[in-house]
Amino acid sequence: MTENPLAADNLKDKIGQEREFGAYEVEKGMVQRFARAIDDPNPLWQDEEYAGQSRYGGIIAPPTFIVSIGGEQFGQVLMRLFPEGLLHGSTTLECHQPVRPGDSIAVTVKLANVRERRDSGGAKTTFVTFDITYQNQRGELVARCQYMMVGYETEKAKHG
Amino acid sequence: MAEQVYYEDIIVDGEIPALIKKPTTRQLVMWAGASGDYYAIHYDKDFAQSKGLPRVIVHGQLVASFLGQLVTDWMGGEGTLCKLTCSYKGMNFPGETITCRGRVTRKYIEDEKHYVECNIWAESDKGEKTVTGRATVILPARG
Repeated sequence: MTENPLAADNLKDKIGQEREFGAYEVEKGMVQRFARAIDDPNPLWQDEEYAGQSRYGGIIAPPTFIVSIGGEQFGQVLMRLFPEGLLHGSTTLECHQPVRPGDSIAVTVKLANVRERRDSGGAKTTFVTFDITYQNQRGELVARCQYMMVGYETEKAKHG
Repeated sequence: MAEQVYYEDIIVDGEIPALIKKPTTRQLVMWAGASGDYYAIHYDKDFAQSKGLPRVIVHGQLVASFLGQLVTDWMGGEGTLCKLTCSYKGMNFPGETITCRGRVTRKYIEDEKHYVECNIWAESDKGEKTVTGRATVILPARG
């Protein structure tokens, strides 16, 4: 067992470490629910007949759907890591092939970088970069996503 | 669906058609369920205020997905989105209008593929650019 790089203090010492985040089955209903949540009526995401006649030969997920795969589990890790305050800094998404219903997507999270900064009041802000890799059931790279998350100290920030 | 856009049609510095969204708190809850992001700053006002926020805020990734839709609507079924980057510069609040916009910055051919790059951004109804980013797509060519 390797140490969990995403669960403890001394984050800086864990830069470069990776953790398998499990594999997730993609169902048609998940893709539809995602498209409805964005309010994106594109028939490629929902209309079997239309998508069947497209170059994809069937329904595909919107490119940004990939962030929902393992999203709840990753979110819980982030909330434990930064219980005081957490904001999203940036997202970089590289799409290598479309995700389809029936795919099983394995998620690997790597702690890529950690930067810390203290303001004049002593409140610490932590900038953490994660590289997430998504592979399908054939071992093919589907997407890469880089997140920069910002953890902040709430009370000190208020009084700072 | 709009007509398919081709590489030859693209003018550098041209704008891509805007996409207007007005997320409600209901949409934020739908997004939480669909994306798995249950951080309570997006649906619990007291919790959001305890984190120093004025009120509930829109998920940055929801706005990123609006920008994804901006690009997929524009590029059409024959286009392919290769890369999408978003930086979250400001906050969006439910009930406010978010206007997603884009402008072509570059077009080039590499390995026989026809690439187009755009700057993309989301504007609040005060005109503030709350999310800015870039997109790279491959478009079909008339040949």
